[in-house]
Amino acid sequence: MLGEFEYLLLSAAARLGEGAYGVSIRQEIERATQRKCSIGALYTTLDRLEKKGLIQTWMGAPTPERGGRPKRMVRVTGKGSREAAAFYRTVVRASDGLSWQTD
Amino acid sequence: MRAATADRLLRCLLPDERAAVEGDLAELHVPARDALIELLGLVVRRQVGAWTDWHAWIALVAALALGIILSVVSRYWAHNAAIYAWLYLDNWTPEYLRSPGARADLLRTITGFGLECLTLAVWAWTIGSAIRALSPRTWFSTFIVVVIAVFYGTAGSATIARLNPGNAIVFAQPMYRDGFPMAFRLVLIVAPILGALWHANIRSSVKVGRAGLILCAAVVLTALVGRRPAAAATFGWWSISDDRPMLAAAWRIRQAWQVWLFPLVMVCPAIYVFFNSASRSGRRRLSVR
Repeated sequence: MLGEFEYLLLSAAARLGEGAYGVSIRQEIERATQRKCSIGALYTTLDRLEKKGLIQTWMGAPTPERGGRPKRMVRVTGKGSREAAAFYRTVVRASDGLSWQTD
Repeated sequence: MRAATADRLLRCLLPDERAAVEGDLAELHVPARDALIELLGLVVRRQVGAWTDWHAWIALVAALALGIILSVVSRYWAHNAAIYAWLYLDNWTPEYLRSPGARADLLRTITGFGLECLTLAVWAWTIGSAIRALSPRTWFSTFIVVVIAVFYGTAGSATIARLNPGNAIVFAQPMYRDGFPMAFRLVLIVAPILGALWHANIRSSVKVGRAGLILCAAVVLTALVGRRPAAAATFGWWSISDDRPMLAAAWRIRQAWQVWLFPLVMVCPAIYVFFNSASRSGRRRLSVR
């Protein structure tokens, strides 16, 4: 079963599609969680997901705004989509009938 | 200073990740202080994660064992070289060149010395390459362990050359007693290991052709030094206490087949680096197709 941060990362990568790479995924996670996302957490989770076969990563072309350095591009695999969907269904079932009121 | 520290932290990362992280920090215009904190977090996570991988522990144990062997062999060869250096440098006479027997001995000494230096350097280089290939994230910690093993692996022992009263005049001089082993270890072991680690840091992997050449060099040199490592193992690590085995007992040890494992063990890093390079090259060719 996926962890919370793993699901956030997969969701961000799936939403970004072909534009999914380190910076864009980090910004997407920060937008969704309203919290800072550290490079350490992001890259170690990317490695973990890639080892599990849930994403594929590769080095993209360098760009001038990155000082001529490449991006680490990310794509969600079929297995990753299925795991994310299973996590989502679990959360929905666990939340059935609940109403989380925030004061 | 923050930029210099950040740069040092970046060097703890693998080359691809280093480039991507540098690019991310540049694109986001992260201030130097925040970049330092982010990098520190990533490096610490990487180091902790690296030690949960069994490769790191294999590299550590192998590095410790090989470091001790290098310590014993380098000191033994250094002390032998010191004796000849004292003979030919401190006590030079043109008669050494006039006499055919002395000339032959001088040539044999110089050739043997050169061979030993080259062999130590190649062994050390292959150990550095193997450390980097086997566990790239923990290379620094493993390197520190090797250096400690090389300099302290012979603590509490002496070579038979040093214990021989006939060589007292040679080893009374600190240069021959301590300087030669220190120079051997620094120049022929630590420097090549660092060179191999730096080279692997830049290139991220050793090319198959180069790995093959280094393997051939390691095998040929190890064969040429013949029984010298076995001699080092037998006569280079003697207790400094009075309760030492007789020479006859030491000779029996030297005849044991296990002593022949030493040269074989020293070629293992080169074998590993070659097969590692070959398999990475094969995987790259398959992924291109």
